[in-house]
Amino acid sequence: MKFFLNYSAISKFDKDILWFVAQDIEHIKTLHKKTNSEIRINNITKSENKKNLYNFIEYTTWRKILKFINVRVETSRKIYGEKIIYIEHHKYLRTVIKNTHYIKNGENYFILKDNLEINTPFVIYLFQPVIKFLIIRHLKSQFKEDEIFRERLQLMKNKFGDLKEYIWLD
Amino acid sequence: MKKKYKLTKSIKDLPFREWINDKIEVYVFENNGKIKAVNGICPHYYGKIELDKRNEELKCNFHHMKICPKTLISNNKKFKKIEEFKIISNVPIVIEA
Repeated sequence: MKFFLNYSAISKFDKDILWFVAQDIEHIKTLHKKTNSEIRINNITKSENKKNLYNFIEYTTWRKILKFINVRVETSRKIYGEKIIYIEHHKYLRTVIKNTHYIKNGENYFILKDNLEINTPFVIYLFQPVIKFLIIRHLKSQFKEDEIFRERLQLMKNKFGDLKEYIWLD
Repeated sequence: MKKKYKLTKSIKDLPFREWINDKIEVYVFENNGKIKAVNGICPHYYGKIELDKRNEELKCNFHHMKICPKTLISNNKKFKKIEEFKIISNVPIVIEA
């Protein structure tokens, strides 16, 4: 059964910085260590567009839920124009979460939009409010940590000009 | 051409980071009784290089770059050694960059 969740957050940093951080996978394990313990990239299709780190990527994360539960999540991301479509497979719950992430222009800021579609068995569907609470908490936590990263990148961009090309560590 | 820079922070502030000339971010720390000054900007992607909680290794707080504080060599083959600045004097701390 499906249910939906829309989440927005406001950021004042430059759009290219927002776009980079939204795509970056390799910061998950370090910057988001509160919510993720490990990440493994399984497959990547590089992009010819310099602004994009990839066209398509598949990876596995070991996500921390309620501090003491570690669950394996299989994720794929595909970039369509200015949108990133994430598909997360939470096999332990037989649940698939599809998230469309994009950046909307505000007046002196940008709005980071996440439109989520959660497809889950009926038994889990009954716990919709709990699942929504956990997802929002996860998104809020990551947004806060991403803002620290974006602030640093903005400082570097202001001092040195454009951001340099990203080199994958692994 | 290298220049000498007197840092505003001192040994009692270790470890610390400081911008000089508005373009160089120096990270100064102690390793095995020796004071070292390195480029505090991660060569990978701009993160802050700093000692971990146990003072055992230098690491970037954004991605998983790790650097040996003794040799200054990174754990990643794509990025060999971080830049070290020569310390001319400890009190006050003067470096050459």
